[in-house]
Amino acid sequence: MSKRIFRHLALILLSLLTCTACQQADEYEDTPQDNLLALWRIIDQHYCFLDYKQQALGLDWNEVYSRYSQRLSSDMTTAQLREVMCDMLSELQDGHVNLYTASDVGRYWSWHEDHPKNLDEELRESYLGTDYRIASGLKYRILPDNIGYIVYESFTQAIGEGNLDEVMAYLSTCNGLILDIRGNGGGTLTYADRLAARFTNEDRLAGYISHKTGPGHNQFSTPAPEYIHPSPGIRWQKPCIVLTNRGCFSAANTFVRNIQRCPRVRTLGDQTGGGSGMPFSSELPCGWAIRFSACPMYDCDMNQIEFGIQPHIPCALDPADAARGYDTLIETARSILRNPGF
Amino acid sequence: MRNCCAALLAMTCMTAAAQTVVTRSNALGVGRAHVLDTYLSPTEYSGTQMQYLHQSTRHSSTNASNTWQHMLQMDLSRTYNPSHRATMLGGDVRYDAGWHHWWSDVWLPGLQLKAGAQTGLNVGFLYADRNQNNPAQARASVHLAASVGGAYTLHIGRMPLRLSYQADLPVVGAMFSPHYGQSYYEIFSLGHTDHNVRATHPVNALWLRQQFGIDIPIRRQTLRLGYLSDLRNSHVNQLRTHQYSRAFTIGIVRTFHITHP
Repeated sequence: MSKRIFRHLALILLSLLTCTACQQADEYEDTPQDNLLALWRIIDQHYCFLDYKQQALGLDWNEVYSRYSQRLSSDMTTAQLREVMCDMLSELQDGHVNLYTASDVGRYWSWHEDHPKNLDEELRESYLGTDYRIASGLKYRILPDNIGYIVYESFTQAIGEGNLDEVMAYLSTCNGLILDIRGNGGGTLTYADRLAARFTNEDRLAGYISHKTGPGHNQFSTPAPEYIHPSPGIRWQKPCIVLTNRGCFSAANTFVRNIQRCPRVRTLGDQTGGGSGMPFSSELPCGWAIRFSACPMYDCDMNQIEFGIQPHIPCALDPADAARGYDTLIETARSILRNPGF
Repeated sequence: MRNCCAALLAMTCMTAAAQTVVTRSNALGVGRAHVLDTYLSPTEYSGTQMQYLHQSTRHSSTNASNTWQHMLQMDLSRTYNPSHRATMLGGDVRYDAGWHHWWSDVWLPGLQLKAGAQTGLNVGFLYADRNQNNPAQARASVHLAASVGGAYTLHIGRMPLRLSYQADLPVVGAMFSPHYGQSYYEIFSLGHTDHNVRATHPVNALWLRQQFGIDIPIRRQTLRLGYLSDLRNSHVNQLRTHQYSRAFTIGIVRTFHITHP
């Protein structure tokens, strides 16, 4: 009896090991052909905007592979291979797509390089002066007409609740607030959420987020709502204008999406740069790293914001104003805040 | 049955009838690990793994054919991608508790075989140092496992060498996993879950841990030289993972006798 039991157990074990559920890595050689195929496949299976970009740009990802694989040769240099890969990735027109090699970072920056900058850093510094305050990533001061002015250059710079309490308390006597995020290329979404939470007194639907549930181009989870929750700290109750330009990307783009839902806030300037796909990282057989958009975010009406968000009040930097030492966007915001009407 | 009891009694140096006999071993191991987690990378990473293994077996002196076992396994690995341009750090803590029934002289005299069941849990992490929004993977699972094994005592001269083997195969359980392209920001910052706890069985999560050991008595101590093979696979939420580790272990075995009043 016992012999029979053990014989059966051994057979079960053997069958499990031979018909196994062993999971293996994709098999690639470190050749130009396999590296390009691996790169193409990573985007094909994980990139979240292939269907959208087919609609918006006419992108055919299969055709892209056919075209670029013809540029390969087995004796090409790594620099040549990198160039082919970067050209292929630029078809996606996505600032979140990067190829990291030891010598360079492949990138697509046309989302801001092909548009007016609407930002003169020297001018902005002249408004801050030299005696401005710095609370972690926030530079701030009170302008002569009692308007608060905050510059937040990057969401990679941390801000804590204590920083925000101090800034809000310091500016609380101001009649209005200008929040200048021009050139903010993104960073940590948590900081963007934390800052937006200072401008609402109730939960507000900001938009939706989803993720891929499989390798198919249209395999997505049901979009889940994202809310801005009011901060338990000091919240801004007066009019606020957020200055934007094409340099507002990624987390800054999401911040603009969120802040536009707040009632006493208007955005002024140029369209944001976009970048609404939360990026993931992966790698190629040769060891190069690849970053790509993985989780698409939408506005509260389920519209794509990958290519940017229009401001409430369009405004461009006037070179004549700049020559006189005036920043057109800041001055327009100041004049609006003197008689806000919102 | 009488033979079985006699053999176990001899093995664990039992002396009194109303006693609990506890055998504890602590071992350290070093070996190779091969790690794949397609949430982090499509590439298999390979490198070194260090292990600590604690094993405690107890049985009553009046019923040596049934033993209770606790096992704690801690792993720490540092692995590299094939081009050695990136590193992954991994760590796991696995605890199992279970029961075995022993049979003696099943196929040849002196051979003891055992079979039983274990329940266990595993928590761990995998950290890819150059990934940005998906730099780490959390591991958490519970399982009910079938466990089989055996022991045989050889005599070389006057020295008894006890050979042992145990294989643990989880047959049902549950594990945490993000979905295919789901970010941890969605799970933990926004609270959006999406099938993040999945039922597991050998078809979608085949784990097999095998231990071989040789117990060598040296004066009043017993040295255990071992080999631990730990194979873990999963394929849930369209994510493929594996961690194959094989390590040589060395440890000390101690036996205690607890007398009950």
